[in-house]
Amino acid sequence: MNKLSPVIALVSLILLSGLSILSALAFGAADINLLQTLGALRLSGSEPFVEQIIWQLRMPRTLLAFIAGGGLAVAGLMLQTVTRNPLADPYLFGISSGAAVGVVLFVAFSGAGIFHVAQLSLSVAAFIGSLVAMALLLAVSGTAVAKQVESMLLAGVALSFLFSAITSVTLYWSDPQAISAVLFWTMGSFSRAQWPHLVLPGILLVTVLLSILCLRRQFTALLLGDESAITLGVNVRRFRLLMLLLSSLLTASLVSVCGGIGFVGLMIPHVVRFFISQAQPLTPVLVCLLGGLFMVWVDVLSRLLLANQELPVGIITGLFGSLFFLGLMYMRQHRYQE
Amino acid sequence: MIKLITGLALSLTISLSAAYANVEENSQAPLRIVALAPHIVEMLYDIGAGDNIVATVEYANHPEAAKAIPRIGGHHGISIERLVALKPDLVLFWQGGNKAQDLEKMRQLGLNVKLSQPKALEDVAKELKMLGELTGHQLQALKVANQFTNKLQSIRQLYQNKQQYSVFYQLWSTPLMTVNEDSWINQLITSCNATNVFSQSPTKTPQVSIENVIVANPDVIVIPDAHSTSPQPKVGWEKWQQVTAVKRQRIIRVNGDNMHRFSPKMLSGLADMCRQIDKFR
Repeated sequence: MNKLSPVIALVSLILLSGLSILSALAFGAADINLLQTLGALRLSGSEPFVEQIIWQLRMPRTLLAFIAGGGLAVAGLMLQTVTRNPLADPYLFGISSGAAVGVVLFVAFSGAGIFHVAQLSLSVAAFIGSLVAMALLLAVSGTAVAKQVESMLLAGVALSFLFSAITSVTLYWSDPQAISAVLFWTMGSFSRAQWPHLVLPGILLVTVLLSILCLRRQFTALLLGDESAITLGVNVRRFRLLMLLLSSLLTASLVSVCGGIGFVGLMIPHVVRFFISQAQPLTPVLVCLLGGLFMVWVDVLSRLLLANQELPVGIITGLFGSLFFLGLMYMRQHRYQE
Repeated sequence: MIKLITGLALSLTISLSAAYANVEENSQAPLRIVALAPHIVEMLYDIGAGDNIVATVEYANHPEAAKAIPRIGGHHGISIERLVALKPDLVLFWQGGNKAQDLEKMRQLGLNVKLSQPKALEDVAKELKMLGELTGHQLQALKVANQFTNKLQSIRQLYQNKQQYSVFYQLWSTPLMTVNEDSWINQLITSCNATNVFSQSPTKTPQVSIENVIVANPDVIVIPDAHSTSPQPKVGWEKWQQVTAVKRQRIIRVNGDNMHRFSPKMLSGLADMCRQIDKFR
């Protein structure tokens, strides 16, 4: 398959993202057309009701979807690159199951009523859960370069199982109400999005992207393997830990506000690799844009598929995303055979 | 060979007569009931058969005496071994609440299982009478059942000619969840002569967004609080003044423990919700 020029891909993705975010604002339960949407955006002559819905509900939600899609995809790319494992994604390292434990424990034991003030408390619980998972992973994964990848992956998988078990055992003793709230949380949703939720993930995403761009030499060197990277003067062990730390922080900040959203981190980097050769310095930006673009439309679907109610985002990413990816693989396989 | 057959026949006779004796003995001993749902326990106490319960499930916390009954499971399943060991004469199974696999297993083991499957509010009276028949407390059951039916009718009559309000029933806030018409909570709402704004949703406990609620524009928002869970995190409705319920400050809190359980006690929760809604009329 002929690869695309990264610059053309970048320009078209930026245009598409802008258009998608704009048009996504016009979809929702309330009947607001594109013209009214644009009016509300320019803050000129639209009803206050429309303005409020656009600015307080749909805008933070759409932007959060974009940041979440982009952030999870970039985190996936980082982990796949530094571990040279095509299956690596934030979920594999127990980061999201750590967040789930935070939420479950919070829902199950917050009867004391200290924390029940705001929605943000749930996010804080999830964030702490992810940080604990990350700290454990860093503590366990070895110091020797040779075995670092292996021990990271194994420790990540073990941690995932550990956290799922803690989640299950807590849910086992909780009441059905708490169970369904947690279940919905694990399926992911952007419907709770508020402006303050965007701050931390937004800052982290920009920071992570900038640092990968600055460290692109090391990043690309790792694609060649540990030995080659060391020969090229990269401190592989430290660089890998840094990447793990950054991607975990990013994931934790996202999972804590959106819940569990699978697929994006794993698949989007692969989709980009289908079209763009791997060693391009622009790859992280493309992955981020495509992830964001994908998630914005997933969120639109989650608002529209069922009349008067929401379909959890995780279901759509899992279903449509996997089918799309399988189709892409099938097509590629076909072309090779011809 | 003959010896063997005689021996077999003899042992069979002995064991049969032993079994017969067992049945005889049981008919005099008090009935041993296992009640596998909190609402069944409540109803059994209501009809005077509470002392016959030998085991139940978690959350069967009403009346006070029920808290002392041994537990053999919860919504996650039942310990069949402990159930069998209790040698119950009657197992009351909650169709739709307990696990279906457990029912199959109990029937395979030859236990005397009877189903509680309440759907409409009126079914509480039917269930009470059924429990009365099964436990021999027919008279008391009939009395309680009639009381229930009368009270339900009087609540409905009280409000049937009043102005009809639309209600958003906020089952949970993070994420925002509500009920559709398949839930019996919907029947509670209509009993107050109110309508549920999400009654037509395709799923039983739909997840909705703030925007969905704004579009539905309910006259009243009802928030149930349950004793067993923490209070619902706040949604921040005060920001959405275009919703009638918010603008007119018609957000009420009701007792979820009472309302969400299929027993006569439900009516006290219902009466309270109707009264609170009626204050706005």
